[in-house]
Amino acid sequence: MLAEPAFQGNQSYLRYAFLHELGHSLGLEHPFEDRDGDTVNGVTDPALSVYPQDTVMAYRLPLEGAWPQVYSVNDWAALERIWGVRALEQPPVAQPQPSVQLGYRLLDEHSNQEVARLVVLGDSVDPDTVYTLELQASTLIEGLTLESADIVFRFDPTLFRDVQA
Amino acid sequence: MRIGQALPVANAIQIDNALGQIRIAAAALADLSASGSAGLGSAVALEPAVSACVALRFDADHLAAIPQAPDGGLSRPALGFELALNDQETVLSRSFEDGSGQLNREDF
Repeated sequence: MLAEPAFQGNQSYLRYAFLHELGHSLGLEHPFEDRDGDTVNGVTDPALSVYPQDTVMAYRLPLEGAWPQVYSVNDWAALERIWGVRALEQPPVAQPQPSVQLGYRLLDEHSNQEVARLVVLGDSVDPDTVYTLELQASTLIEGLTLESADIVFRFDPTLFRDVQA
Repeated sequence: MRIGQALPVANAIQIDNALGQIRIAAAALADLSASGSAGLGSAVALEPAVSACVALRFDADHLAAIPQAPDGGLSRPALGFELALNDQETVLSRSFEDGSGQLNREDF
């Protein structure tokens, strides 16, 4: 609630106060507010805290006497943190339909049994285990034949010994 | 590392063990046959065909340096790998009849 007479016709100060109070309703707090333990720079004295140019939630007189008329970068950052950011809607981009599918089968070389995965968190690791990874290719459209392929396989080089050609 | 029988022609394998990347360029000539003999490679179509095999062996020294959970497992996220196809270098073909009675194939 703003008591307009209190601003003595200072429209700039009135607008600042409006932004300040609106900021509260949107979840912003004073920069010196320490009830939740996150004051700006650890300062709890309103007179020593940051300026209105830093945030419209400040209590100090503005630098050079000019009351900010818009939310500051810090205010927007806080509002975005509270409310999130609505992604701009992008026009749909036509994606080329894939015509080739890559796949794999992972085999334990000793048992020649197919395994579902290499190692996941919590699995015991036997460094002597040798896996054979079969890279597979197929077309996705009937009537098409794959004549040549350029396939890139990436792996964590620190976990495996050198792959030999 | 070996190339599968599906794409055995003029294959090139580039292995970068430091980067952890293997690039395979391979092709088939399944339709090129001489007097009844089969062409090179098998036509890769809807049915998945093995294009290459890679033998992976864990590096024991590196595994020993990774902190382990009480059950002996690795205390780091899942180990995985990535497969990608370079669309610019991938050639597909399809057969068509041009009215001459001969079966033709065109690449695209």
